[in-house]
Amino acid sequence: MADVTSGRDPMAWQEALERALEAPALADFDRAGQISDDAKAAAYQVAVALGYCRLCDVSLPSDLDGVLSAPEAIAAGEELLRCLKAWQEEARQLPKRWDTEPPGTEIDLCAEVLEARMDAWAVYVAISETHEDLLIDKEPGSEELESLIGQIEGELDELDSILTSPEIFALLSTLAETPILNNWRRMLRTDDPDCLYLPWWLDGCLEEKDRQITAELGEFEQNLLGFGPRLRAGELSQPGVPRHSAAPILAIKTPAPLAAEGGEEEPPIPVVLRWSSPDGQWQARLACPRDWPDDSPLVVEFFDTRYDPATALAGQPVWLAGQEANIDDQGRAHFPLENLKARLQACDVLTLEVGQERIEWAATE
Amino acid sequence: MGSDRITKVNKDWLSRWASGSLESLKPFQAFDIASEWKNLALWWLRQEVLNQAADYADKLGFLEASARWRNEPQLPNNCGACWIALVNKEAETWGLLRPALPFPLQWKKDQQHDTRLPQGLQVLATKVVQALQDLEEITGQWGLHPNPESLLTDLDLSGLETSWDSGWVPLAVGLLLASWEGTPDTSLWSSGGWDSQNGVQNVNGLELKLELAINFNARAFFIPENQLTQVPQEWVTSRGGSLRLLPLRQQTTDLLIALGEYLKELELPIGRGSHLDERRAKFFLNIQDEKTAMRFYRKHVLPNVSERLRRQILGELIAESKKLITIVSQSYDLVLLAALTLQPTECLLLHDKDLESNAIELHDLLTQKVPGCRPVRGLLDGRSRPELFQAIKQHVIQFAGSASPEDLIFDVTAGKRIMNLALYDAAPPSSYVVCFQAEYKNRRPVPFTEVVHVWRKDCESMLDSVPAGRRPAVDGTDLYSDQQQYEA
Repeated sequence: MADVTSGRDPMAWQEALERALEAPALADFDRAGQISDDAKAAAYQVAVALGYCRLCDVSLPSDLDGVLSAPEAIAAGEELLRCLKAWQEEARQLPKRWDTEPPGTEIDLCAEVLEARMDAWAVYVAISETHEDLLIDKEPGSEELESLIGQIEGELDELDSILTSPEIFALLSTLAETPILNNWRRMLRTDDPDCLYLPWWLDGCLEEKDRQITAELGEFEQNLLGFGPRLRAGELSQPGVPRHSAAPILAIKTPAPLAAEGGEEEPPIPVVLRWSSPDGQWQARLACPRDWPDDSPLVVEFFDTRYDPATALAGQPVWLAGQEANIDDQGRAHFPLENLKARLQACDVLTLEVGQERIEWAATE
Repeated sequence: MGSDRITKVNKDWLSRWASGSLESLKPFQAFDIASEWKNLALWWLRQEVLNQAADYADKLGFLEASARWRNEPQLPNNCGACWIALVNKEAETWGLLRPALPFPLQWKKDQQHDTRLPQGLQVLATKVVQALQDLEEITGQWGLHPNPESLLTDLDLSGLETSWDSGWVPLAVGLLLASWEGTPDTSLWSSGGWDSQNGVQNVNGLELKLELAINFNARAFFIPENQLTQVPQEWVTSRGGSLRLLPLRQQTTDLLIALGEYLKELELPIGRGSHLDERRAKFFLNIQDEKTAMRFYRKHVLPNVSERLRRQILGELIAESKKLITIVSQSYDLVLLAALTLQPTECLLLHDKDLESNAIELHDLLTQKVPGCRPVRGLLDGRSRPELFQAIKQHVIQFAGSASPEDLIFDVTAGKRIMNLALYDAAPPSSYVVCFQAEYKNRRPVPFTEVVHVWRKDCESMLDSVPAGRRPAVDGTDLYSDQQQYEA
């Protein structure tokens, strides 16, 4: 991804606008009658280019400078609404696609999502400009366009709420390691003192998230260094140390407050996970219930070989999926389910490390 | 090691999760064991294990698990439900299992057996299905399943080996109930094998099974009659139960006789004997599904109804070989009733185009149900009474062959009115005319209200131009003289 270094219109939006205005389908707007889908798509492209020209403060020659007509703005807005629905679904699928698409394409996936968000912003700017003109000149069409803009704002909010959900936001933060965010900032001339607004994805929050994740991972690796097998998100089990899958934890459901009495009941404790210390002196187990409140802790219990509580381990630190707790005087350690689930979203194995040296215990059965 | 792991319950697994003693069991282990047994825990683990597991679950805050394990298991009584009692033959080794284990099951129509069930049990279930199909007590495919289906969630018992023979009777009775819309009675238990050559077979572990039934508040337990003396009633009384021991008859290979008392307790009136007729009638009228009701009527009502009617009608009507001429209809098995009652050597099934499929079905039914009767179909073309008369006459001439009118019985019970009139017209003098009638309730005949009216076609017949007393011609072509043509 190239670094944009200079130029008043480095992305050539003026040229893009000229090309967009040459689309034959735009002739629909000069005729009475139905606006074709092609014409809507053409109007959308004009809105994109024009919007970017405004966002990037591109000076347009007088024969190009202007606003979309009311019908063109409405057509572009309707096309944007259609695109927003599709982008919302694509955004929801981002974690799945991240896992399933070929390695090396993750950055592109995230960039596509934010590029779409940028386009939406540009179109919104272009049609808002038309709306303002209509209002000022009291021309017909302003009410229809206002209603449409209201719908677009609703869909934009929905898209943003998806993009800022923790899991997807964490994935998007990987873009901080690329020049794309800075390129956009330069393109938008954010260094200009007149630039008063930055959208959330360019206000530095993604970089902040990236720094946070990097720091946590570094700390995690540092803690593991020399004491036991290392674990990175998505990394497969190390040979010789069997690990449990994260699935039993992730499968725990939040109790429904008004759950109907069901005839076909699932087992109350579907899975019990067990571990053994490397020397076989201690055992640990974690019962995974079918339902459990997210804000309540799950309990890892430690036993000796006679199945008595491992009170001798009291006070020892223990990490479950990297989350730390201490073993209490009953040989138990408590881990809030919510935190565990959050940790396990990006890691499909469940590790148990015990003691100051963070020795990883082996999963059994 | 995911939650989608299926636990294969076999000897090795049982050694890990069922062996040990209650004395050395720690609460934590009890919890683990109850968890591993999933939904089967409640049924197969000793109550002491479950209590300890529940106590421990309370400490961990697993209140749902605790409540579940403290529950007393309730036998299912949904349609198709049945249960068998297993004996823990290795109680010393598998000390955490109950001495006798209840296994709640259910029969499901048009399904295969649940492959999670023990292989041996599936084989036994197939034998039961085959036996009841042979007896025509069931139709179609029936599959055995755990009850409820979630009983075996995440468990696979297909590798569990033991003897399942004593489950034959409870499975068969459960399937009979399912087939006839009968209601399972959770207070009735049974244990018995079956051999088509030798009837009901003895079973093992009776006392343990009886104790189990007592724990489930059973009121009666059916066991092979030879074994009734093995367990004195005093023994039962001493266990604090009011359980009655009742017999599965062993001196017969007739399954319905062998199960007679059991079926009677279940109020399923499919046993042998006319003493059940009143119950049969009531049961039949209460069956919800029309096809099942029809099947029940044919299987368990019609034979007795026809037997009663045979005793009422003229001996001469059934003493000699007769030929029955009847009209196909969609009403409740009236043709079959006539055929079963009169037992003709041949039966002419007259029908129009509309009822061709019914005629084919009836043809097959008569072949199957009335041995010695050869059914013949006759398609009628015509709408008016004269047209139908001509058409029927042609069929009758061909059908009668050399038979004399006294050998012909015209059944005017069923069919469209106009066809019946034409059929009556076509009955030659001295032939028999019969009409079956019954009271009806909700479009079904009320069993044992059936009556049959019989008369001879004589001089008042509009076809009868033959002087009274004239001996009808023996040649079928002469059944109708020229003067006997119907004139509209």
